Amino acid sequence: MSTPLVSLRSVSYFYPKSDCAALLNVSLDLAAGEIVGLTGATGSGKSTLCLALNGTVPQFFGGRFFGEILVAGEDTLNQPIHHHAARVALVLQDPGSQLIAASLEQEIAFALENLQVPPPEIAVRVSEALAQVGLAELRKKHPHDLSGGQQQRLALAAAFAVRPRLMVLDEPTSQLDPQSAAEVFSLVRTFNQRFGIAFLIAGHAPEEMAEVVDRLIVLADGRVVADAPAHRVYTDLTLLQRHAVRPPEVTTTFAHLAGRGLARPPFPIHLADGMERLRRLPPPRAFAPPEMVTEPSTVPILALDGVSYRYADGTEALRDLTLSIHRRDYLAVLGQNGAGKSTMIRHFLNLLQPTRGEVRIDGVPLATYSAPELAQRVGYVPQNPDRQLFNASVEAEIGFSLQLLRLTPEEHERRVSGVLADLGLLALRKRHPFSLSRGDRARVVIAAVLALEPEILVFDEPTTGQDEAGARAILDLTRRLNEEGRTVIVVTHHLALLPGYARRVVLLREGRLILDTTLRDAFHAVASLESTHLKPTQAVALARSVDPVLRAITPQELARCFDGSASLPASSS
Amino acid sequence: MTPAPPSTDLPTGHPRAIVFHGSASIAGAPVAYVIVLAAVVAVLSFIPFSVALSAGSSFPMAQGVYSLTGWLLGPWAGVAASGVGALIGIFLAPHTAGIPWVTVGGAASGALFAGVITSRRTHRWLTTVLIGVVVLEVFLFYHHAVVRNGVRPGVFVAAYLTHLIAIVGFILPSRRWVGGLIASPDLRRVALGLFLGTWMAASLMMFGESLAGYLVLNWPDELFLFFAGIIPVEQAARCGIGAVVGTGVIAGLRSMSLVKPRDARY
Repeated sequence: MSTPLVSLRSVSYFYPKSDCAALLNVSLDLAAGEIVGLTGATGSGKSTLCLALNGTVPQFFGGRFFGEILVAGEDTLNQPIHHHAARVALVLQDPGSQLIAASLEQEIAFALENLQVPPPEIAVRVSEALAQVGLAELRKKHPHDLSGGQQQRLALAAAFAVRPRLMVLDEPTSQLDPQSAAEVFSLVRTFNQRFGIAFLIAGHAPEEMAEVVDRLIVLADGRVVADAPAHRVYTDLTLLQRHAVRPPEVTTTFAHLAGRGLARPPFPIHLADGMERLRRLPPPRAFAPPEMVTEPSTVPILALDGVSYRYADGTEALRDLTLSIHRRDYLAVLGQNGAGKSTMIRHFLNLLQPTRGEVRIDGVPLATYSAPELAQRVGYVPQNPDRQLFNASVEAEIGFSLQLLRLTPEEHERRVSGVLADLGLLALRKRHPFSLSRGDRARVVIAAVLALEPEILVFDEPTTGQDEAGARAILDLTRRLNEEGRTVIVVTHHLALLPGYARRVVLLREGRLILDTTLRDAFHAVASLESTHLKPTQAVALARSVDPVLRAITPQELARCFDGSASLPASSS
Repeated sequence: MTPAPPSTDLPTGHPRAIVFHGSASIAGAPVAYVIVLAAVVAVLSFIPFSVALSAGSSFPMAQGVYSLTGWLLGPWAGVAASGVGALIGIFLAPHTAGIPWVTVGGAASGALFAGVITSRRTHRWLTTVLIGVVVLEVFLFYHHAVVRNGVRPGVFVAAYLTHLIAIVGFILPSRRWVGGLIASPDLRRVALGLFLGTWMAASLMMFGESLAGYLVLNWPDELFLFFAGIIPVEQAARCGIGAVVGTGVIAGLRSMSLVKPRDARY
C-alpha cells in the first residue's frame, strides 16, 4: 500500500485556555488524488482540522497538541507553516480575510512570488487561474471591490495557482450562488483530474458534496464519528440526523418514498441516479398543494419606485427597480452574486440613495426619516454577525443601539431583558459576544436588532456557515417574527431551506427585477432561476424529471405524489 | 459503515511541544509583530509630551513604550522594533526627535535594557555586558561633568538621582523581581511591574542619551539644577505611559492567545 499523502495519528487539540477538545483522538489518512468531504455540526472541529493540516494549528494558535500529523511524511510541528503551505493550500471560510493585495493578479501572484516561482511562470499561472474561475476580465480590480462570491473564487484561484498536492477548502461555497458553487465543485473535479490534487472539502452543502467527494468524514465534538465512502455515510440517515448533518434532497426523497413502501435502501445520493430510479416508479398522481398567500394591505410598507443606482465606477447595480413589499410579507430575495441584492438592501437602510427613483416606507420617502427613526422601522441582520459585534458583553451589545433612542432606564432594561428572554440569551447576558458559538453570536445580532422593535427585518444570508440545526433555528425564528406581525425579507442562496418559511420570491438579475411571484412558482421557474445562476432544488428537479407540471418543492411533497398503495417495482430499489 | 475508532474523553496521542517555526522572525519574534510595534513607536513619536531643554526639542510619547517592545518581543527583536520605529519617527516627526542618532540609539537601548529585565535566567552574557556599559557610562559622565568641567558632585547627583536609583535597581536582584511582576497573571502586578520596569529601562536609556548629549553640547552647571526638578516629572510620565499602554497591550495579547515570541516576558 502506498504511503498516504496526509496521515493523522491520535491527534487531539485544545485551544489556549480551553479544557474542551477541539479535536479528540482523530486518526485518518488522506491519499494522493483523493477527494474527501468533511462535515459535521457547527463547532464540531471541521475548521480546526483544516487548519491543522498545514500546521497553522497549533503553530499559530498555541494551545495543547497531542499525536502527530504527517504531510508527505513530514511532521507538521517540525517545519514552519510556509513550508507546508506549498503542499497544503488552505482556502478559508471567509475569503475576504485572506485577500491582501491591491489587484486580482497581484493576489494570485503573491504566494507564487513567496515560493520563488520564476516570473514568466507566475504570469502564466495567474492568467490560467483567473480564467479557470471566470475572473480574467477583472484582473486589475481591487479584491475588496468584488462580491463575496467573486472573492471566494479569487481565493480558490490563488490556491490553485500554487499547485499544491492537497487543497483544503473550508466551506468554499457557503457564500456562492448555486451555479457558482457548482462551478467551484466542477473546478475541484477538473484540478483533481488534471493535476492529481487531493481535496479535503469541509462544509454543509450535501447536494454538491455528494456529487464530487469519494469519501465522507463526519466530525462530532472533535471526534470522527464516521469515515466511509460518501454513499454509505449520506444514506445513514440516523447518523446524519444525530449529528445535525443534512443529507442530499435526493436521498431524503427516497427515504420518504421508502416510508410509503416505494423504495428500498440503499438510497441514491446523486441526482442522476435519483431521476433514473424515480422514472421506474408508477406515474405520480396530480399534486395541488394549498398556496399560502399574503393579504396585501392597501399601502405597501416598503416600496421601491423606479429605483436605479450607479456606483462611482459606473457599475449599474440597480436598473429601474419597482417593488412593493406589504406588511407581514415573508419575502425571499434571490439572485446571483452581483445581481444587486446587497445594493437593494442598502437602499432600505438609506445607506445608499437612488441615482433615480424613490424608496418609501409607509408612503413616506426614506430620505425624510432620521437615522434613529429608520432604525425603528428597518432592522438589518448582516451575513457575518461578527462584523456587527463590538461590545464587551451581550447585554451591552443589545443595549448599544437603544442609546440612540434616548429611552428611560426602565424602558431600556425592559427591551434588553425582553429580547434576551425571547431569544434564549438570558443566561449569556454577561458573556463576551466573541466567547459564544457562531449560532449564538447570530442570535445576539438578531436580538440587538429586535430590541429596536423594527417593523421590517432584513436578513442577509442568515444561514451561511450554519449547520442544519442552526439554520433551521434561525429560520424558525424569522417565521415566528413574521407570524407575530413583522415583515421579513431574507436574502439567500439556499433555496432548499426556504419551503415552509418564505411565501414570496423576488428574483434579481443584473440589477433588474425578473420575477416576483410565490415561492412555489419561483421554484418551478427553472429558466429564470438558471438565468441568475440559481439551480432548482433537487426535489424540484426530481419532480420535473417525472412530470414537468408536478409542482412539488420538497422531498415530502414529492413522495406524497406517488401512490403508496402501488406495489414496489423490483427495479426501483 | 466503517465503525468509528474507539474514543475516550482523554487524548491518547503523545503530548507535543509547540514551537513557532516561522522563518520570518527576528530572534524568535515574528516579523509581523516587529512591524506592528515599530509602527506603534513611529506613531507615538508624533505626540510630544514635554519639553526636553537639553536638546532644544520635546520628548515624544514613544519614549514610554520603547521598553514595552523589549518585554513583548525580547531584547533583540525589541531593538529592531524600537529602533526602526524611532528612525521612521525622526523623519515623520522631527519636532520630537532631538539629536536623531541619539534618539534612535536611545530607543534601541531602551528595548534592550527592558528585554533583560526578567525573572528568567536568560541572556546572562547580554545582561552582564549591559551592566558593564551602564557602570562605564556613570563613570564617564561623572568624570566628564564633575572632574573635567567642575560641576559640583551634589548637583550632578541631584540632577540624575532618579536615573541613578534605577541603575542601582537594575544591577541588583530587584531587576528579576520586577521581571516577575511583569510575568504575573495578576494585571495589577503587571501594571506595577511595567511602571517600575519602565523606570529602570527608561532611566538607563535616558542616562546614556544624556551622556551622549552632554558630550556634544557640554551644557552649563545651571542646567543640572534644572534637571533635578524636571527629570523626575518626565520619568513619571514615561512610567505612566509604559504602565497604562503596556498593561492594556499585555491584557489584550493574553486574551487573544496569540503565539508568544520566544523571548517575550509577559
